Amino acid sequence: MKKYFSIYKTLFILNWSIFTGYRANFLNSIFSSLLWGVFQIITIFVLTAKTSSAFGWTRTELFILISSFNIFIGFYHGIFSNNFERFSEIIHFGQLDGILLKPMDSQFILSLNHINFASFFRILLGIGFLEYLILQNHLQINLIQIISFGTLLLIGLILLYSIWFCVMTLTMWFTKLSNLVELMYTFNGITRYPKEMYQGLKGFLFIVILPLSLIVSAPTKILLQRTNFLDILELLIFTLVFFIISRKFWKFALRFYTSASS
Amino acid sequence: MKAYLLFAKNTWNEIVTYRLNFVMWRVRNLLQLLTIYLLWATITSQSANIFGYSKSEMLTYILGVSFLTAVVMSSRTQEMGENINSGDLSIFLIRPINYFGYFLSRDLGDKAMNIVFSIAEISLVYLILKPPIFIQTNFVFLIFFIIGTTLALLLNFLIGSLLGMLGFWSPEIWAPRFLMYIVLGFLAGGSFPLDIFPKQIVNFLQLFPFTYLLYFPMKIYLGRVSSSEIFQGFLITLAWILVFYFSLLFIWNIGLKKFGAEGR
Repeated sequence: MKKYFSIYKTLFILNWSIFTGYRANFLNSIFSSLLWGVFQIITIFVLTAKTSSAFGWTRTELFILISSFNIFIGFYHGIFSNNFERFSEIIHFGQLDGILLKPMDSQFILSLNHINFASFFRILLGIGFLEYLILQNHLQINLIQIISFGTLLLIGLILLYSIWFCVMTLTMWFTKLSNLVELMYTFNGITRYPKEMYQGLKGFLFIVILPLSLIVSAPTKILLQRTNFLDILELLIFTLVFFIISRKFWKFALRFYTSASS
Repeated sequence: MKAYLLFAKNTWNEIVTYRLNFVMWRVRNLLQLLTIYLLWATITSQSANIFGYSKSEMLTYILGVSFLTAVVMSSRTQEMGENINSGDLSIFLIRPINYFGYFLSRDLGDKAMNIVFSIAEISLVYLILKPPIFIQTNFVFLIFFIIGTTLALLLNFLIGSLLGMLGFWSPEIWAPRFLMYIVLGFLAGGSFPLDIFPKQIVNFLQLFPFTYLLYFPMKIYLGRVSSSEIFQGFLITLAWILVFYFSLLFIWNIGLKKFGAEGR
């Protein structure tokens, strides 16, 4: 474990050097990330301009939800997204050979090799807006709630990562699935709205969307003192199940890997 | 002409060759459509009139913009920057074809595919969810809608091509394109009709080309513009098309002098 922390620290420093090496790209990436976050907030502002509530959530609660989403997605994009974007290419061009030869877990390298620092600025936007909402609405939030919120966001992060990893492992068999990443980004977008919005959907569609709809709304309900223990239990179960599946599926898929003469 | 039709046809074939990849793309579009529809269906169910739009008009706008996004905003012009960076542009320069004509053909092939499947996806959403939608029956508005969409298509192609020209000066073409994509999606009315903003803001935005990509054609379809506003909108769109066209030619000529075909 200590070895992996040390390696991640080195990767962090290397990625930071790359990020700050290209100044125009550095500024553009930060600006894009922040703009994306601001547009999410404006969308909620517009949607709730003429209505005091939607899906059983008040306007303020929806703003808190979108702030939580910005924090969550900032972490997700910062740590994992760039790695998943390269997944298909690594397998298709046989670059996985080099990764498999290294004396460390291949899932670790594939998942954490690249870091997108621009996305971390979105976390700051989310935290800043959340703090503003809490102060403006005189919400009483204690340390237990903050710790619970952070813990559930972390669990949600692991769930989303596990779902992505399971799906991206399919590129072991279908290497030309460039649209898979775009599809998964759409799934990310589902997490920004409350679970209650999707309850009108029936059957298979709702089952697919259910785990995603819990990722941000379950932790946010803790801040709003609307804790739903069933939602939390579902989130924990889904995270455990998907993480185990992602691990086992990856080990299974490796048996089918054929190099591309690297 | 035959060559350009062949490029369009090849683009179509290219898309359907990798079938699972193609299915992923369509599933993604359907999911996006469903998400945005569910959002607005709930908002509009709480009020008979929202931002001056009835429920059917607002839902028609959302579904219509989804269709228009597939038709107008889909583009192959991101490959221009990649061609320039990789040096592959040199192959195109020695061929007896117009480089922009080639990409316009590829765009049209791409859009033809998008039109067919967007209609199928919207029909599926309609059959499952049965939203109240507004069907335009005024033939004049329909003709103007088609003209507006065609102009929007051309405008987006020119914007995309101009962004592609960045490849002459920078290896980093994805980041500014992504930034433009975010801005365009918002300012073009891709998330909601722009006239929900105060009139002064809408008038200001209408001086820029973005509103004519999605918002303006949809307003024509919904019949929420007068004839004079339609002609004014078309004139502004044409003016921007000319500005971008001549800018593109100018930048292309400067870029070609700088082009070193590195990588080939």
